[in-house]
Amino acid sequence: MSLSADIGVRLGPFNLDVALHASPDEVVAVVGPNGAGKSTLLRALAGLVRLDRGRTVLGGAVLDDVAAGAWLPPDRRPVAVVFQDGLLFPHLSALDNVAYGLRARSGGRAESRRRAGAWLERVGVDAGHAARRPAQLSGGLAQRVALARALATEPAMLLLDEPLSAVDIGAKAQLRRLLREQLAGTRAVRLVVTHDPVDAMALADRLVVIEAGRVTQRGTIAEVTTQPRSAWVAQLVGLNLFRGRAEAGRLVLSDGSALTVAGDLRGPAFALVHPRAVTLHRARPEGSARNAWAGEAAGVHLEGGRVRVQVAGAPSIVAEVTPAAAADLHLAAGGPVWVSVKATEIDLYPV
Amino acid sequence: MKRVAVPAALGVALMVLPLAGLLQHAPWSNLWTELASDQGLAALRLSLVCSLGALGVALVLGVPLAWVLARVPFPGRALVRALVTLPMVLPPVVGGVGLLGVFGRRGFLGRHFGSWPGFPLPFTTRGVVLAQAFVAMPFLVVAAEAGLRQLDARYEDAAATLGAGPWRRFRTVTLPLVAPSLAAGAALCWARALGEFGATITFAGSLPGRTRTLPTAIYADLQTRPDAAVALSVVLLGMSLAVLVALRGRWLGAR
Repeated sequence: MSLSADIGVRLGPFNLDVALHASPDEVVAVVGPNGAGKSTLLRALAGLVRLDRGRTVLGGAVLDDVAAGAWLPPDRRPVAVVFQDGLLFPHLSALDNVAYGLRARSGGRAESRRRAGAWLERVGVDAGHAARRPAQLSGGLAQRVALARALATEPAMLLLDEPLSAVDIGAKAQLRRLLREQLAGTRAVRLVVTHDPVDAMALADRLVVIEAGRVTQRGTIAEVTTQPRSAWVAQLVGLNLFRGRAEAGRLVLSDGSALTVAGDLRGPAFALVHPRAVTLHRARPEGSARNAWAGEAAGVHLEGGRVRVQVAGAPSIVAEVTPAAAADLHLAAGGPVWVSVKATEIDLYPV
Repeated sequence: MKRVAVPAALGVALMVLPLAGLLQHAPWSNLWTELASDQGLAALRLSLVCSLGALGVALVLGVPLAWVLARVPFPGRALVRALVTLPMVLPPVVGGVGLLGVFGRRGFLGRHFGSWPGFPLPFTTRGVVLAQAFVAMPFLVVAAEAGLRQLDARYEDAAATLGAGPWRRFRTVTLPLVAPSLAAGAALCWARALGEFGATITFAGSLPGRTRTLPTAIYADLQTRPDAAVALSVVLLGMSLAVLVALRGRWLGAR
């Protein structure tokens, strides 16, 4: 029962063009910046958006095949969706929301409601809350109901669209744990769309990174985070990523600037620099660091006892320093600053 | 403040004084006998039957029409919307003349279908229903379309992913969610049909027991039996107030 999808959808500013495979023994997170086409991909898989090109096969059943003119409407796909804001029917109680899918798939009223009640119990919604309308439920509870509603139809593929984004921080950790449990407990192809790296890492085994409608990277979480292949992923995991052309101990960047690097890699390459490896100075530094350049402290944020400083320059880079160092350098107000990075601290790998 | 208060007060007076005049003129002591007269009861019964019939026609035709206008993009949609709402501003008597032009004995449809079952329409109770529906349906269409436009179509998407086909989606999600708009539109539509005069008298005349509804009865009685006319007017006023009260949550209650 695995998914094999090759999806092309014309969007306004760009085309969504994504090939995707998923098997039932893994949870796949589709991550990427806002507007990358993640939600459109999910809607296409659910049958809510028609493909302009491509083919989707789920467990041997063809859901879409543009060339053959085949398209299965959403109500006939074995696919359930947990929508971003839950999208519970406002005129039905939580219980009737969960029973809706069972009823639609020709279940009897009493039996559907009984099974809906059991599903609500599984996701931790008690009978008192089951009788309430969605407007009377907290965001966390509503999302539990939405999850139960999707699971109750026992889909062959479960799609979750930013399932935690509408939930306040207090309820998030608990819901994330519940999602993890429930996702582990179902034998379906499971796809989670999210822009939140924490959610992706907590819920998924494998990441597919989408930017501007294209897959820019795919792999396990460890692979993607240790060797990011796009600025977005690097930023996501808090690292500096440069792309350029490596030649004889140098990486020439697109803006003409160059970094001195260790190793003899040649050709298109990524350079990864941890912000901790970036040193800041008030004046031109002297010492062993092969890379030094002047910049402007553009943004200063305190994060978990460390200060992340965004330095605008050629190239721009993020440095991580202690609050004491930030104070010594008078960084709070911004202003000129020198940057240095040891060549051996630059991780170089081919594009 | 004073400069607007005076015209504002005069405005209220313009709206309210005729009602006061009506109530002041009402034959309160023998209101019941006037209403319970054969002509009074016949007009009342006919008005209820015809206005509910017109509401039925408006629901059956108007809801799908509103759905198409709200959801289906097609060339000329704005024009169709304008044409469909035209009867709201068109003098009803013009509508009546137009209906005669279509369904009258020499109208372009009436000429051919005059002998078919259900025809002819002019000067029949069916004609009254048609005339009222012509004038009143736009109120339903406008309200229903607004309701459908405000509805988040993603609820229907959610229903689809749960296995609900188009008809089930419409019945279990769309309809309940637009019910408040639809009810308001239906109330306005019914009230408009109930008070319909111009198109009715032009297209269907004022035949006692067949086409003489409350408004046409009031007009007919005003010269000969003024007390009866005022009594029937009081009934129509009461019904209008009832519709207003039913809509209060929507319009009066809003701020």
